[in-house]
Amino acid sequence: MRKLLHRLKNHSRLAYFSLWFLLVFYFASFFADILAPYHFDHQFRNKPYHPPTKIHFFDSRGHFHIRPFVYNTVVDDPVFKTYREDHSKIYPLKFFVRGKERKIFFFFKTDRYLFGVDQPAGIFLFGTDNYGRDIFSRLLYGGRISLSISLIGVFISFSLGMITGGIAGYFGGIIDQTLMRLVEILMVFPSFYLMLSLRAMFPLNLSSIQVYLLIVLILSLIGWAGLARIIRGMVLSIKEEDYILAAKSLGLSHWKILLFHIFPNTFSYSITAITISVPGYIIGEAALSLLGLGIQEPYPSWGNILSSTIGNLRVLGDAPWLLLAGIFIFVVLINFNLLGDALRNVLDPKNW
Amino acid sequence: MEEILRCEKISKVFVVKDFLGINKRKVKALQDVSITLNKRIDLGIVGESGSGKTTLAKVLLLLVRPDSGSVYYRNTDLTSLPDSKLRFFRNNVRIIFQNPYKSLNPRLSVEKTIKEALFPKKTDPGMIEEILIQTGLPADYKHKYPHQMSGGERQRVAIARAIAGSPECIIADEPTGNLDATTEVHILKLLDGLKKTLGLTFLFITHNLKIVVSFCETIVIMYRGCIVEQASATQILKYPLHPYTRVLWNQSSFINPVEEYKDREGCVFLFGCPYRKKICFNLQPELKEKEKQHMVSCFLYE
Amino acid sequence: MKRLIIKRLLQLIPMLIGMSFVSFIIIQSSPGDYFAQMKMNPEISPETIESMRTSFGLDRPILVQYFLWLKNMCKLDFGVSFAYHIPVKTLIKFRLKNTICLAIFSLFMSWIIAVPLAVIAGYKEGTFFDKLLSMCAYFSISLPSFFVALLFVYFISKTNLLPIGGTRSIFEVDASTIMVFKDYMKHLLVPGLVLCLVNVGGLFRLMKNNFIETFNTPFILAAWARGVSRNSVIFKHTLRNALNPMFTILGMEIGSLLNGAALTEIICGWPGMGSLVLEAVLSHDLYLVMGSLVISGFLLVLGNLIGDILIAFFDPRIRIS
Ligand SMILES: Nc1ncnc2c1ncn2[C@@H]1O[C@H](COP(=O)(O)OP(=O)(O)OP(=O)(O)O)[C@@H](O)[C@H]1O
Ligand code: SF4
Ligand SMILES: [Mg+2]
Repeated sequence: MRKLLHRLKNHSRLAYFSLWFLLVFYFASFFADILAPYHFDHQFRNKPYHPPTKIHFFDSRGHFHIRPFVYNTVVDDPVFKTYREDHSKIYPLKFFVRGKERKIFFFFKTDRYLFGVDQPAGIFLFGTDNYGRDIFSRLLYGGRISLSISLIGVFISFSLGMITGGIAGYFGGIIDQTLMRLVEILMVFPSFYLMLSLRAMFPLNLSSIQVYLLIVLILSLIGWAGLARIIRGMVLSIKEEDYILAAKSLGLSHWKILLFHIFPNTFSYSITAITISVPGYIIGEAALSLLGLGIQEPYPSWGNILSSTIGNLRVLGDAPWLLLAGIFIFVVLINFNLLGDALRNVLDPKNW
Repeated sequence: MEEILRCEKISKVFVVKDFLGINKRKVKALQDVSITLNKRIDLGIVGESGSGKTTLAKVLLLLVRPDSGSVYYRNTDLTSLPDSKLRFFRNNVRIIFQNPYKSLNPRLSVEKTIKEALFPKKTDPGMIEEILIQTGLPADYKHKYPHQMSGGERQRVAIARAIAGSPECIIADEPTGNLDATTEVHILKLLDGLKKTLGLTFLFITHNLKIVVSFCETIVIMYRGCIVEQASATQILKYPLHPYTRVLWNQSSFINPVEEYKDREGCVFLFGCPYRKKICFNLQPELKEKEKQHMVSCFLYE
Repeated sequence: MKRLIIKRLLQLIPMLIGMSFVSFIIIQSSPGDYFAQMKMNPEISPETIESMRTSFGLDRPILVQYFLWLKNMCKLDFGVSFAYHIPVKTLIKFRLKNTICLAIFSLFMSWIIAVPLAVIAGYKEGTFFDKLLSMCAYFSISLPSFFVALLFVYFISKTNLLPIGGTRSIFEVDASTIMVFKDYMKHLLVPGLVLCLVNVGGLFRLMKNNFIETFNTPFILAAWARGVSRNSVIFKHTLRNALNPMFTILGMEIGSLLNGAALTEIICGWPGMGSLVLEAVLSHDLYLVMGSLVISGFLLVLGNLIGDILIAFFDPRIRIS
């Protein structure tokens, strides 16, 4: 593993950077409870569609402050939702502020967050949405859902694909034929249509945990077929190798051969395949939530933060900062793609 | 004589498809091959590239199932048994593959490779080192992975894996085919030593007649999936009968025209044979005993 | 060649049957008794219900229902939409046309852009220009279609440069065909560009790799050595051979195109299959979902078939045999 990292670094600095970047991203959403200035459903009722808060170093009289600060804002025009800064009082930015207690992963509790300002002022790095909720905080919390769904989804479909592809490729014959026909039939459908149709199998109003599991289920059901096919192809070529025949000639059982001789040799491909298939799951979840079929309010996900923009031109025109969720997705995807490409090159035996 | 391994009338046809899977071509890799391997009498199989030697080795081990014919191990018919019942046989007959660069799993260390092959499974801790030293490798090689070793060293690991099951017979499929001349000598010496210390019987496959004559008692010559001659080493050395054997002995005296593989009538060696007769174009001669213990398949001797 | 096409066509049959079966199962396992629901719905006339009941065997065992449905599907009868109260076929026909127009438009655009750029980048491999284009390609690959669509929508809401939503803004009765066509194209432009932008990067990368691979083969070197002119080497020898593997992509691209198109349609308000299936799912309009699913699968199969035939057609090894 260390060697792999080293090779990756030598191959492409950019991809190495992507790896760290993604790790930081995952880390940040994992610890959203500490990093986010507000809880995901904390509403500033008098501040809907608030633009990103300006952070100042100079006050209105031109004095410099070492500690950056914000002003409280008041509604200027209630119809067009424009805000005006109230220069009478400054609210300095504070680190490790105390606030309402939040639970971190059901076990630990914290009442300190990384940063914040005193009420009634608010610090909205990326603005607020129609309920006056801080979008930055929602993005961090949403990342927890979007990123975990993609990882669990990839994990499930990869295990499924590995098992079916491995069995089909190794045993061949009728097993192979039936499994592959099944896979082909699943692959006949464009995934978006299949995804929506599978969603139609279930009622629209489900509890949030049910929806979460459902999305994971749907995404992995769609994803495993392609992986199974590729892994079958690999197993098919690996099983003709002399070292597999050698293992067979030692009298090892089929399962041992599959587990210890064939699967480990698909490893380098698997790493690459996992990396480049994660984006598909992120997009899948985002698409479902965007269309209102996935994660439901008040829980945030990268998809449903954008969903208020669908079918309403005005919203987007007035609050373009909602698009930041899209930029989050884009940044994560491009890093996954960079990393996946580099891994493919690094792990390709031809380049050793 | 104690018979270990015997096969009778083995045939194997491979169907090779072109890249779209539309046109198919049949390759007769083995045609009615019968051989017998007796205890303590090493058998050598000689033939040029593509003559079906490796296929024969794989069939004898049931790694590839033959289309017809049977394989017997100590008079048990193995072809009728499923893979799961072949355990006892797998520990007694082991194989060393042709290409040491391909026959070791790149993801397993030497230690694990040998451990898998050990029989009986429960052994004392120093066992693996002992086996490594027996094959002329330092004991600390057990931590190495295949890509960290040279071809000769890999082949020694493959040999170690073969002897780890304490077999009575080893099929060596061109064990030196991918190695340079000096390493070849070392490996052959090693095999010869093991043969004596462990009391092994070898089925030695090679394309080099000169090696096999010194290593084996009995020799089988193959050409395009058929046995064309079978005799003791001295007989092959002194009185080669089949035209192909003579070509093998002295390749420079006569240039063997290469015939593209085609499924056709007549003797397999027809195109390369300077003595061919009319009948050779229509029929494949049978393998018959010309002299005592000397079998040949050629119309010259009928 | 003929044999290949026939073989592929024959392979399609079990595929289509399997596909229809899966669609049927998916829809059948959705919750609630929709036949009962239908009867309760005062807006659906008893005649419609009666005719659906007999032709789809709605009160008969499930397997019978499947075969009846399959039979009807062969006659292109997909049943009646619960929400729209008109045959699913009519709905799909209208929407399918739009989706196909969108797909072909963006496909055409992305090939027109990707192939020349790929040739230049491949020829000047390693230069700044190549690196810049490769970076752009990364962007294009990583941009989710819905995000690009939203960006466009935002841009248009600010500038009002192009119409968005629907297929036409001219409703006069006497509008000439040309005007209607122009209007249609204008509406097509936004979703078309969005899709093109999302797809062009992948195409560019594949084409560039093919070009470089072909460019380094011995027969191209031989052409150089013979003193063939630069343009001739690039266009006549390399490009033609580099394009061949692209036709496989063409078939596979239909799938990703349909997926991207669906979201783009929904966001840009383009009345295609994507927005249809979403509406159908939201209103639990089961026959419509089923019909759309089958049709989308059929489109993908068709795309793969066309890709295969094109490969066979352009590859002399197959065409001649
Ligand atoms: N798995 C396979 N599929 C198709 N054809 C095969 C397969 N294995 C072997 N053959 C064919 O069978 C014939 C015999 O092959 P085999 O490997 O037994 O030759 P060999 O005598 O071992 O040659 P070499 O000295 O090169 O190892 C060859 O023509 C080969 O192409
Ligand atoms: S049978 Fe005929 S062709 Fe074959 S080896 Fe003998 S003489 Fe030559
Ligand atoms: Mg061989």
